[in-house]
This record gives sequence, C-alpha cells and structure tokens, in this order.
Amino acid sequence: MTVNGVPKTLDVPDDETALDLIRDRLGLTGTKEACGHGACGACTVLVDGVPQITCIQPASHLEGRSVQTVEGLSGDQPSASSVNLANLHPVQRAFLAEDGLQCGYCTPGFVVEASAFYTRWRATHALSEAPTRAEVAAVLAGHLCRCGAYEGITRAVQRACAGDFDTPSDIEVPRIDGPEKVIGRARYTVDVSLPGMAEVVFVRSPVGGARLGSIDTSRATRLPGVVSVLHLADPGATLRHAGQPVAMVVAQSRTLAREASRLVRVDVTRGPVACDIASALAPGAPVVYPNRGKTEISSEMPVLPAAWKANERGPIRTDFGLHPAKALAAIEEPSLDGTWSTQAQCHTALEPHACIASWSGEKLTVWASTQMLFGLAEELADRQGIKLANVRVLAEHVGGAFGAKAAWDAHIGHLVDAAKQLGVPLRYVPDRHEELLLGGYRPPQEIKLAIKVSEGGALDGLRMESRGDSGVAVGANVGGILRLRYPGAPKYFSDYDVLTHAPAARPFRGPGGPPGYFALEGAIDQIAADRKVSPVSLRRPWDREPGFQRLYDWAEALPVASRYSNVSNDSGRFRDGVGIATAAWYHFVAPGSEVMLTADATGFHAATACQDMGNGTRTTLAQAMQDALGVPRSMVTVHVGDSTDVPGPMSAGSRTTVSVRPAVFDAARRLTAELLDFAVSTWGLTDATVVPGGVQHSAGFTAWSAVLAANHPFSAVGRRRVDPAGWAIPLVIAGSAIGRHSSAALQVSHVRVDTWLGRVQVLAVWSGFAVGRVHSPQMAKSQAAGGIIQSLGYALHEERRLDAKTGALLTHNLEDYHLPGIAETPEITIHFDDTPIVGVATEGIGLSEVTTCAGAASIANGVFRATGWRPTTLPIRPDRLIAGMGART
Amino acid sequence: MISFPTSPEAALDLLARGPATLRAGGTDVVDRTRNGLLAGDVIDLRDIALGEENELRAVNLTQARSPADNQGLFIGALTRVSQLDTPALAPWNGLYEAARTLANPQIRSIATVGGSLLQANRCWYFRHPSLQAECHKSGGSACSARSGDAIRHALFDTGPCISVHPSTLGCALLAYDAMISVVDASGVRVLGSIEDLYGPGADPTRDHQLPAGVLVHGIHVEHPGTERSAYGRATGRVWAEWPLVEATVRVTAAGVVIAVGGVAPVPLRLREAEAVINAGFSVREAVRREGAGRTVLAETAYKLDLMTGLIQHLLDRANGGTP
Repeated sequence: MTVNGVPKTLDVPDDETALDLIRDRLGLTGTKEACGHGACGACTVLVDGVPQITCIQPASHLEGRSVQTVEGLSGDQPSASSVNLANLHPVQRAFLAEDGLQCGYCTPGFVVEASAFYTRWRATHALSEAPTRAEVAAVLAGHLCRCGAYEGITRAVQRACAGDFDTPSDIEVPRIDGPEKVIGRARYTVDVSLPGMAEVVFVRSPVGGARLGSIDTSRATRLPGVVSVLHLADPGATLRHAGQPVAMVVAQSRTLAREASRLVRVDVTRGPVACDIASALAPGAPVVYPNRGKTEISSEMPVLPAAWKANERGPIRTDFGLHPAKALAAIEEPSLDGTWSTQAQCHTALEPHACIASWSGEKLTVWASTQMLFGLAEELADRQGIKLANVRVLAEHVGGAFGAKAAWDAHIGHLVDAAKQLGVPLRYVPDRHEELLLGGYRPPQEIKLAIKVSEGGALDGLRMESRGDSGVAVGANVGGILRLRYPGAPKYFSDYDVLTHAPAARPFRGPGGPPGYFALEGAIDQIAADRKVSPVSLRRPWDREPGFQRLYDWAEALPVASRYSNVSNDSGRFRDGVGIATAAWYHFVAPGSEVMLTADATGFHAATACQDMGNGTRTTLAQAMQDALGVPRSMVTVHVGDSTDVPGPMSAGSRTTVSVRPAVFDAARRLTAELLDFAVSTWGLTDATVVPGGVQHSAGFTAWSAVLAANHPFSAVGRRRVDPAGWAIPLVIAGSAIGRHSSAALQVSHVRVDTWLGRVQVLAVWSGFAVGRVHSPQMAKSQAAGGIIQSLGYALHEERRLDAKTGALLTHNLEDYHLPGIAETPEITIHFDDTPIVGVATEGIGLSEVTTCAGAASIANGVFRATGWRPTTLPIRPDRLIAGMGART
Repeated sequence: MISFPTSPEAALDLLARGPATLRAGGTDVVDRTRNGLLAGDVIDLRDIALGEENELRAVNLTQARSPADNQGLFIGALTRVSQLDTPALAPWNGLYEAARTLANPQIRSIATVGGSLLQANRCWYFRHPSLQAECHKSGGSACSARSGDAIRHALFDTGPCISVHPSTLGCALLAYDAMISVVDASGVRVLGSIEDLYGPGADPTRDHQLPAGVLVHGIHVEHPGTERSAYGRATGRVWAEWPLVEATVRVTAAGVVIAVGGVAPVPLRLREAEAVINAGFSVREAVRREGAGRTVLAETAYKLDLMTGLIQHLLDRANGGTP
C-alpha cells in the first residue's frame, strides 16, 4: 500500500482493522477511534481518494491501495511547536478561520471528508460558488462532533468550497491550538504509547442487582500474550449495576486483551433489578443499598445529608431564605400543577476516559483524559500514599469532557495499582459501550411543579418536588439551580435522590439546569398561553436584574418577536412555532488558582496545571496575556496539561476563564514589575512606568521585546483572589467559591414540526447571554453554540435506554444512542450582552453551563407553539409527537 | 482463519468444507467480530472476480441478464453501494434514493450490495454481548425484545423474532420485484425474487433465507418504463439513522407498489394497502386496512401513523410534489 505518498509493505494479521494498522503500526494517530462502529466518522481516511471509515474495515482491504490520512493532507510542517499555515490544505485553513472545532478529536475525520468534497465541488463549480448548508450536511452526515462545532464547520466547508482559502494568505486563527488539531498532530491520551506498555480490558458484570459467584480466569491466563488477569471482586460481592468491574485482563495488545476477557467465566446470581424511578419506588422494589453504604456522588455541588427510606433519599431542601411557607400558602390554588419527566443523557465525549499509568521507582506518571488535572494528581498522591511531588498527571489535549471527567474514576485506581504490581506501564481505553454505560450521564428527573401567578401577573409562589435517578450515586438536584431564577418569588423546593441499579451519573454541563428549566419555563409558557399574554411580558416583572431586562429588550427586537404569543392552529403537515425560555446560572470561581508567567528572548510563556477540553483554556490564557501585557499573540505561548505546573482550576462549573484570567493579570503585574526593574537598572531609565507593550520613560518607549532580548530569565506566579465584591457565601467548598451575581440566558427557538413523519426540526435559534464582559469572543461563541446543540440533542434525540430486566445498556453504540448531527444544526445567532459586571474580577462570569440550560425548554415551548400540544417528557421522540398530536394529524 | 479466494469456485470449495462467514465490505462482519458476537472462519471476497469485466463489481445497464431481457439493470453482488449513486439509475428512482440515503457516505463507499442484503439485524439485544445468548438468532430460544424494550422494533408480528430488517436496499429492491441470482457448483442461476430471499418473516433464526453453500451473484431489475417512484424514511434525525419506517413507493401504470422496512423482521410488500389505494381510497384507510389484516404490536403502533405519513409523502413526491 501507499500511505501519504510513501510505499509501505506490511504483514497484516487476520483480525487487524484498517484503523489499528494506521494508528498502532504506522503511528499515524491523527486518525481517531471514537465509536468503533462506523457511525461517527472520526476514523475516516481517503482510500484512493475516497473517504472511508477504517474502524470496521479489514486492514487487508487496504492492500495495493493509496491511503491518505489527515497527516498527509497538508504539506511538510517545520517543527513540532509551530505549524506553517501556508502549507495547509484550504479546508484546514477554513476550519481554523471559522473555528470549526473545539476539542479537536473529531476534527481529522471532518477535515479529511471535507477535503474530498472540496475536490469534487471545485471540479464542477465556478469559483465563489458555495454549497448550501443542506449540501454540506449531506456530505458530512457520517460525522459526529460532541462539542457541537457544526456551525463553524458548515461555514468553513462552504467558504473553502467557494475558494476563500485557496491562496495561503494571512488568516486570523482564533483558537491557539487549532493548527495542531487540524493537521492531526494534537496528542490526546489515547495517542500516547510507551515502550513496554501493556493494554488493559476490564471484565464487567453483565447485569445489575446481582451477586458475584465465581470467576474463572484460567483460560484467559493461558492465552499467549496475556500478561496477567487480576481479580477485582471477591465471590459474594454485590454487583449493583451492569458494568461493575470484576477482573482486569492485561495483555500485549488491546485485541488480545479483549479476546482474553471473553474467556473469563463470570458466574453471577441474578436478583431483581430496578433501573428507573418508577420501579425503584414501587412497593417491594429491590433495595439498592440495604445497608446504606458509601455511594458515589453525581453532583458538583456539595451533597447535603438527608433521610433514607428504601431507595429514596430526601427531601433535600434548597429553599432556605426563599419563604417556603409563603410559597405553600400561595400554591393552594395553583395556576398550573404538572409533572415533567426527563431521560438520561450520556456525556459520551468522543475521546473516552482513557488513562495510562507508568511507575518509575516511587514516581508515578499518569496520562488521563481529565478535566481535573491537578485534582487528579492530588487524589493519586493521597490514595497511593506518596508525595505530590512524586506524581505527574499529563493531559496535553482532552477530547471533550462536559462534566464526565471531573471526578475520580475507579479504573484509574485499578490501573495504577496493577502497573505498580506488574512493573509495566498500562493503558486503558474504554470502548464506546463502556463509555456510554459508565462514562457518565445526566440523571433522569421527575419534576412535580406547581405555580401560582396572581390575576395581576405576580409570581406568588413556586412548589417544586423533584426526583432524580443517579443510579448507584446520589446528588441529583434541581432546586439548587432553580432557586436562582425569579429571585423575588417565594419557593418551596424539595429534591429526592432515587437509587437504582444503574451506573453512577455524573455532573453534566449545567447539572440540574436543563431538566429544571424544562419544567419551570414550560409551566410559565403554558400560563402565558392560557392567559393570552406574551411570554416575555409575563416574565418581565419577575426579574429585577438588569441583565435579564436587557435580554428581554433584545428578544423583543428579533425578527420573530411578533410570534412569541402565537399558538398555531395550522392543520397542515408542517407547523411552525417560536418558543422562548430563560435560565440563570451561578458564578463559580476556583480561588487560589495559579498561573506562572515567564519571559525570555522568545517571548512570554504561561503555564498552569489546568486542561483544555475544547473549552479554549489555552486561548483564554493567551488572550489574557495579550490583554495584560499589551503584546501580540505571536509573543505568547501557553502550556497546560501538566500537573507539575502551578495549580490551576478544574474545568467544571464554568469557572476556568474567571479563575485563570485574573491570575494571569496578577502574574503580569509582578512580572512586569521585575522587567521594569531590570530595564531601569540595565539602561538607567528615568521616570519609567509599565504601559501596555513595554516601558514608558523619559527618553521614550521601550517595547517588551527589547527588554526580553537581553535574554534574562524572568518569572512570576499570579493567583486568583477574591472578587472585589466578595463571595456570595463566605466559604470555599471543595475548591469552589460562589461569587455574587449570576449569569442570564434567553433562548428563542424557531421550530418546524413535520406531523407526518413525527420529526421536529429546529430551524433557527437566537440565544442571548448576559454574562458580563466576554474576553475571547470566538471561544465564547463556539462554546455557546456547542451548549445549544447539546440542549437540542437533549430535547429531541438523546436517550440512554437500559434493559429493565437486567440493567444492561441497550443504547450501547452511537447508532442507537442518537447524538445530534450536522443536519440538526439550526442557524444560530448568538448575542452577548457584554455590559461589564462590576465587582467581579474579570467583569464577566462563566459561560459554558448557562448556554445549555434554556435550550430544551425553548424547543419544547416551540413545539407547543407550533402544535398546541405541550411536551412534558423528553426527548420529544417521533412516537411521543405522534401520540401527543393524537387526532390533530 | 481468513481466506481470500480469487474465484467463486474457490470460495464455494471453502464454503463446502465447513461453516464460515462470508465477508465483503466487512462493515457488519468486522463490527460483530470485534464485539465478540461472531467467531470462526471467514471467507473474504476481496479478490473474487467473475468474467472478463468482473461483473460482480458492476452496475450494468445494457447487458441485461435473465430472466428479463428488456434493457434492465444488473447489479453485481460486490458492487459498492456508492456505485449506485449514478444518474444511470434515474428510471429506478426509488432504488437510487435508497442507495443515497442508507447508512452514511463513508459506509456506502465500502459496503457492498450483497452485504447490504445479507447483513445481520441491528436489534439491541441481538447486538449486546451479554444479552445475545437468549436470542433466537444466536441459537437461543427467546426474544428478549418481545418481553423487554422494543420501542424501535417491529410493528407487525410475523414470527417469534421482532427485530426489524436492516436492509434499505432489500426494501427498495422488493418494490421493484427484483430477482436474485447466485453462483453454486452448477454455475450462475436465478434463485428467485427478493421476496423469496427474505420470506414472510416467520423464521426467527435467520435474517434471510439464502440457501447454504451459494454466493450471491447479483440483482436483476426490470426497466420500469416511465413510472415515478421515491424512497424515504421516518427518523428522528435527518441523516444516518436506522429508520423507524422506510418505504419505496412506485406509481406505475398498473397502480402503486409499496414496500416498507423498519416494521418487520423482513421487508414487506403492502399488497392490501396497494389494493386499497388503487381502488381510490386514502392512504390512511389503506394503512388501516393493512394493519387490520396483520397483528400489530402495541409498543410500536405509532409506526402505523408514521407509515401513513411516509407513504403519503412519497406518493406526493412521486407525483411531482415538493414538500
């Protein structure tokens, strides 16, 4: 075969896939495995010029073919640290310019597919002729992007096809690590390979609600190439959920380990299973924790103690200070009283929870796809009983996380222990089935909500009772978020955890928000419709915050504003509606986060033990340096992904930017003071002060570049301190402080319902955010678009389904678990109300989570406005739409 | 053990020696093998050639094969699905659109027509490594879907298994009364129709009824003349999703022809519905009567509505409407 123009001759084992050949044997790790099933396109390469998936293609089918991978798309690249944009394929330049990527894990597949389309398109179309959105969507239909970068991808492909990037002229590249992602050089945990490394596959319980009988590993152990098979559970152990590990197989290759794992005989005694809220609360239901015991936590907020009764834990009251008694009194004659139900939404980042553990004497190095790099190092030191200085966690690039990678994972502990015991580095890469089963999900919720709105339109009270199913974990909570919204209204909130035989849930972007706002904003929309008033004017008097008022003003000026009050009475096949919904989110900060700035002849360098999961941490740091120092981007570099740097924040709770940016400014103050001293003493400057870009002095201006040219090393560490306005609660819990102020979001969704085929299409979305000052506008826009796409998936498509008899996962691949694709992407308009928030260090607050909170509510309200049928269960599947429409069709 | 025979005769020899799985594009076989659902010998058809122009890998319009000699269409079994994306298929629009819709572009560029017809179903119990054992199609004696979660499964109860047939091409070719030819020890011969290939859906152990020891040679479709036709599917998302219901509808001089998928363990011709529509009644009435003559599974009864909407949509499109 020929690979990127170079002839190769290889012996191919029978069971090798084309992807294994390309990644493991040729070392071309730009091509990625994500679904392992042909559904996501991450493994796409060109075979004789045609895009083909490689994960389920036999390696032998590449014999005699010419294969081009992402690495072969661009010309030669000069060095590991820089990318020559002039050598890139026009499609690669377009992806950079339009920011058609976030975590970058799916990017090589998209770029390869798009490059072939570009060639076909350009062969048959005139220059400046661009394909339509629908044409681009049809071509990229086999590619999934979990971050939701589809909007930028669509624009990139359209503009590349129109010839906008044919000549290697200067382009603006908003994302600082974009170039290495579009050429496939960005290294993720799954791409790391160590000499002598062995691969791990776990043997897992096939069912939940069971007891382990015996494990027979003898056949697996005898398989040539198997290093060891370790027992992780003893006979008699409780197997609460399917997927619980019982043994681990260590072998020389992943294929071998997988084969050996199938030879391990696991006998279990099956018992009754309760894997949803209704069956866990039914009389006589099997009790998941008969002796309580220690559970996992599914929340990123502190979990409050509460009473237990069989599988129910609660109530947990989050209405302190919100006049609950008044709310109960008001609600005696509610304006609306209803129940809303939501499903489990899997995070399923395209890079799985991969991990590598390697010991060298007492020193431990772990590569992990994590959003808590520094916290993981601390946790490892603690669990292993070794000094933090002996632990290093590395995560150069992280292929998406969304909350699923912010907690300790049992497999990391097993891997680290086994690596020590066996004396070899070990790698574990979960397959998609494991990722969908165990990698985390947003807990299903059942929310009973009653609202009282007075005749005069005052919000007199809210009563909310919520039950959340975090599987074997606790911590699902809706009240903790909803208490932020409509601050003057009396509220009675009680949350319950319902324990089930499902794996542990994890915090998922905006935990509690999407289901909570689906209920709250749906109920308010219904009241507005019942009273024939505009849903904007109904809400206005309930919000005193200027941020929401400005978003209402903005919404009322949109082209679709005249339709907010409509409930369509169309009887045709297609019915349109415009839904609106709002959301608020907390201002979380990680106080104490540090950034180290150094300066040398090559420029300024930032380093912090933080991570970039596609949220744009690197770019945020670079932008902060540019702003703090007054220097161009070409003078700054950023280093994240190494826990031995000064401690940075975990990326959760929308707090990365608000935590690291002030730390950069703090460090810049110290560093420039040092530079000033040096300049003054070296050159005898007088009346010298630091100004943007350098030093102003009596003889004129000296740029930093001139000071740095002296090649004297400088460094300073900056810290995130308390906001000028202080914290809302004078406590820092688990490294997290709650600042004053909250973020505000308002989403308008124009939906079209196809009543014949049961499909809801979101045609356009306008999303406004009042989060104060936005410092990296393109990163912010991309994040917001991603949050909107994920909420669209939650509203319409995504749904984990478990087998009720066994607790096994039925939606165990990305064909059965439906992520939104590029064709689902509406036209998205994002509006930042960037009025600075006074009293907050960055004059702005975190963005990520609030972007995903109002979406499902807004879409569901749009479906109601289109059809007159109110969805109260997510997702709004074709069968539910058909049933809901009933005789209306 | 994987073999790469270079002729149909060599492949048949291997088949005759013992049980083996045939592999063409590999998208289904590799997937099931990797997930531990399939083991044993594999006969890979990568190098197989037949005839001077290797008719196994061609879409051939002019040299029509038996049984019809009317300038029909011959599609070799090893033709890639993406090869069907050709304007030459315009007269068979309901097949052309099906071939451009199924799976996704990167799959279509390696999957073959024969593989598409003979692939295994996508039931989430059948495909689950630890639930598979009970399944009829894995040698078990029960249908877990029937007593479990079958929200996307069959609408019509035609036998013990309630999976839905995965082949979009099978559904489209059924609408065209396509014939299938096979190669066996005696050479190339016509096996029968697509309907014969699948049967009525009563056999829970197999996704098709191809006899043992043969290779699929190709598909023969008569030229439909000047009729209009369309293919479509009902799915939650726009692209790349297994259909809840799919259909090819032909509007011929003799009346409408409707084949549907996603509703039974085999693609189905809706002859009752065709007759009702041809008698001048509405699609809703046609589907109602079709359903009345069959056993409808309660959990998926919503598919009757989707089927109604889909057939109406396709009739409108075939008749020149642009919804």
